Amino acid sequence: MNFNSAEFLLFLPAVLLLNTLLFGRTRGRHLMLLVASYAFYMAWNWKYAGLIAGSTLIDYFVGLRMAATDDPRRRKLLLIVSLCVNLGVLALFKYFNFFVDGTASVFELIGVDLALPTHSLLLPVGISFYTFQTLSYTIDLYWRRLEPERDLGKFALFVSFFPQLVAGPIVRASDFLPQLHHAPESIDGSRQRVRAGMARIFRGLFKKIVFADLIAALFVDKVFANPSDYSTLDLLLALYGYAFQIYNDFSGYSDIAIGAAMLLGFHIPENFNRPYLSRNVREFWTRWHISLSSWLKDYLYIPLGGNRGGRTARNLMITMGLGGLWHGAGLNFVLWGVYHGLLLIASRAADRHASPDAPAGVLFRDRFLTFHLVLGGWLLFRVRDMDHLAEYATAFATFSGGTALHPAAIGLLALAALVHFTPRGAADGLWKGWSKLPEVIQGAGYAAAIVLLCGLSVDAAVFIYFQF
Amino acid sequence: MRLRHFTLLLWIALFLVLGEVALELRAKGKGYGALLFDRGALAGVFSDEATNVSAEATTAVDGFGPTADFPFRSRVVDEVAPAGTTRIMIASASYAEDRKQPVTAIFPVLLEDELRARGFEVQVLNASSNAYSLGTAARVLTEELPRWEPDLVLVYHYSNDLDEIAPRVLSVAGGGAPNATAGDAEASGDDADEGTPRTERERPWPSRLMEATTAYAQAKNQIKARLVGLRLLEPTLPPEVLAALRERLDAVRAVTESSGAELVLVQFACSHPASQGGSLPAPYRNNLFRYNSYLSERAWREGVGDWNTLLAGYGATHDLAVLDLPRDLAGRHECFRDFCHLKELGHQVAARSLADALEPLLAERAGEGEEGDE
Repeated sequence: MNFNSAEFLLFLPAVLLLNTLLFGRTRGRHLMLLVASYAFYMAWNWKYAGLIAGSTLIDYFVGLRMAATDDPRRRKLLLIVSLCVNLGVLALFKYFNFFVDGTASVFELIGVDLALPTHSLLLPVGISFYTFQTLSYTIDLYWRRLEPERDLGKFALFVSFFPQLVAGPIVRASDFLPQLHHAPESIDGSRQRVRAGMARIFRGLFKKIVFADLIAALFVDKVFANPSDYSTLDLLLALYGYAFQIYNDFSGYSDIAIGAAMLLGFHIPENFNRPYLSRNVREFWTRWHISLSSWLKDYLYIPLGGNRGGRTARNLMITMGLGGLWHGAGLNFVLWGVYHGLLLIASRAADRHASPDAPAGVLFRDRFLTFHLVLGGWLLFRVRDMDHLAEYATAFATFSGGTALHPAAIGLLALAALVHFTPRGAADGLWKGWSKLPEVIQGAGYAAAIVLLCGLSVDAAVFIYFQF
Repeated sequence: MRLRHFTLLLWIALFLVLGEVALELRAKGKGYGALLFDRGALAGVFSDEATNVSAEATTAVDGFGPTADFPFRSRVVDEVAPAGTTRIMIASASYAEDRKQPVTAIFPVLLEDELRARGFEVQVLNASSNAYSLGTAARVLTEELPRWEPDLVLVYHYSNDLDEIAPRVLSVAGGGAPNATAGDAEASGDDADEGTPRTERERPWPSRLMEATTAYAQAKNQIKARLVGLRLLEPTLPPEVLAALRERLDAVRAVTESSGAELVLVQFACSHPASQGGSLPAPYRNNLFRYNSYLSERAWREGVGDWNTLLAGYGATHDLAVLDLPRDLAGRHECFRDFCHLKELGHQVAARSLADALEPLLAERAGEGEEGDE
C-alpha cells in the first residue's frame, strides 16, 4: 500500500480511529497496530510477511538468551547467529545474483565460462530497513546498551511499525521501545499534535507528488532513458532535476512516516535537514538520510576504529562502500559509496569549511561546491550501469546547447530549488501560520489539496527508496 | 487522545463529500453520469464481478441488454441462434458500447438493422465495454465464444490498447531491482499483458471508488491532461508498441479461430487523422492526454495510420477480412464528439459503412451455405 494511494487514504483514518478508541488500553492498542502494520505490508506481497515475522522471532529469542547469560563466548555466538540470519536473508534476496554475476564476469575475463545459478526471487520491500533495525537491537543488547524486550508483541511492533516499515527512517530500539512501555493515558495538546501530524503528512505528499514525481515525469526519466538524444544543457537540467526528485521523494516519505506516527502518538526521528545547504560533504551526511548515516557511524564506522589509529581513511571507505552497497546490488551504488568515501576523506584532509557566520560569499561558494560534488554522486546513483554512465558522459561532453524541455518544467525545477533553499525560519513561519488557522479552514485546504494532488499525479510512482 | 482531537479529519472528510456532491449535481445537470445520482453506479464500484452488466440491469429494457444473462449492449437474443442466422459479435470498447447514446443509436444495433434491411438474417451481439482493449478482448472472447458461438467476430480497437501498452513499454522510471511492489508478471519478465486488469473492477475498491468520483475525473481532466502536454513525449509510435499490439492481435485470432468463428478486423477511424495535418482541438487533446501520458499527439495520430497498415498486412497474411471504416468516417469532424468517440451521425455512418463492407462477406457465406445444403 503506497502512502500516495486511495487505499492509504482510507487505511490511515481507520487505524487512527481504532488507535483512539483503544487509547489507554495499551495491549489492545499495540495488538491492533501490529495487525495493521502486517496488513499494510501484506497489501504489497503477503508472501514476504513471513520474512519479517521470522526475523522478529529470531531476534526476539536471541535477545532473551543474550540477556540471560554473562558468558562472553555465548553472547558473541548469539550475536553471530543474529548477524548471519539477518544479513544472510538480505544477502540472498538482494546481493546473491549480483555476486554470482560478478564472479562469473571475473572468470570470464580469464577465459573461464562459469554457468553459476541465480534466483528470480523478488526483493522484499523494505528488507534493508527492517534488517538494520533488528540488527541495531541485537548489537545494542550485545554491548549492553539496552535491556531486552520481553514482550513479543511489543518487539514485533517495533520491527514492523507501518509508518516507517518500508523506507525508514531506521528507528533504533532505544528510541521506539520506551514509547511502547510508557505510553501516556493521554497526550498533552493532542489537537495540536493532530494538526502538526496532518501538516507533516501533506507536506510529504506535496513533496512526493508535486516535486519528485512531476519533475521525474516531465523530463528527468525521459532524458536519462536516452541521454544521447539530448543536449548538454538538458542533461545538466535532468541531473539537477534528479537531485531534487530523490530528495523530495525520500524526505517526502519520511515526512509522511513522521506525520502518521505523530497522529498515532509516536515519535520518529527526523531523517533530513535540507541537505543541499551543506557547507561540506561531512555536513551533508549529517543532513541526508540521517538515520542511516548515524546507523553506519554507530554500528560500522566506530566499531571499525573510527577516527582512531590512523585508519580513518580506510574506515571511511569501508563504511561508505558498504553504505553504497546497502542501497542496491549494483556497481554504480558501490561506486557512489566509494565516491562519497573519497569526498569525506578529502573533506577531512582539507579540514576547511566555512562557519555559519562566514561571509555570505564564502557560504555560497562552499554550498555551491558541495551541492555540485553531491550532484556528481547522484549521476552514479541514477545510471543503470556503467554503459549508461558512459552514454551520459559522452553526450554531456558534446557541450551542446538548446533545450527540449518545456519552460514550465524548468520553472518547476526552479520552484523545487527555491523551496529547498528558503530559509528555515520563513518556511516554519508559514507552516505555523497555517496551523493556527481555524480547523474548518485547514480542513477545506486539505480537502482541496487532496483533489489537486490527484490531478497533479501524472504517473503514480512508488517511492524510490522502496527498492532498497 | 480522544476522537474530538480529530475534528480536523472530519472537516476534511466533510469538505470532500460536499465538494463531490456539488460537482456531481453540476455534472448531472449537464447530462453526465454521476456516482451518487445514477442508480447502481455506486454499487457497481463495490461489485467484484468482472462484467459489463451494470448493477441495475438485470432485465432487458425494450428488448435490449445488458442483462444478467445477456452481457451485451444490443438486442437480447437466445443463446442458440436460429438456423440460417448469421451471428456477429462485435468486440470493441466504449466506441461501440457508447453509453452516452441510446442503445438504439449505437452502431452495432444500427448495423443489425441495416443488414436486416438488406435482407440478411443476422444477430449482432455487442460485446463491447468501456475500457476494454484487445488485451481484454482475448479474455472476454475466451469466456463468451463457447456460449454464444458467433459466426463472425468483428474487432475494433486501438486507443485503449495504447493506454495500456505505452506505460509498460515506454515507462522509463529510474532503475533498480524489481521488488515486491512490482507485479509478479512484470518482475519475472512474463508477458506484460498478463498483468492487465480485465476491467477496472480488478483493482482495489478504494482506488475504484476514488477514480469513479467526479472530483477525481475533474482533477485529471483539468490538471493531469494539461501537465502531460508539458512533458517530453514520444514523437512517433515506437515499434515495440506496434509489436505489442500485434501480439494482442495474435491472441485474439487464436481464441477466435479455436472457436470456429471467422475473425474480421476493423480499421480504426479517428476525428483528425495525421494526413489532415493541423492539430487536435484543445479539449480533444486534453481528453487524449487524460488517458495517455506517453505518446505525443502526433505519435497517436500517426499511430492510427500505422495500426491500420498493420491490420491490412495482418489480414493479408492470415487471410482475414479487413474492413476499411476510416474510408467513410476518418476526418469527418461532424461525426465525432472527441478524437475517437462517435456522435449519433457517426454511429449511423459507421453502421452503413460496416454493412457495405460486410455485405459481400455475408453473401459469400450465404452462397456457401446454400452449396452446403445442396
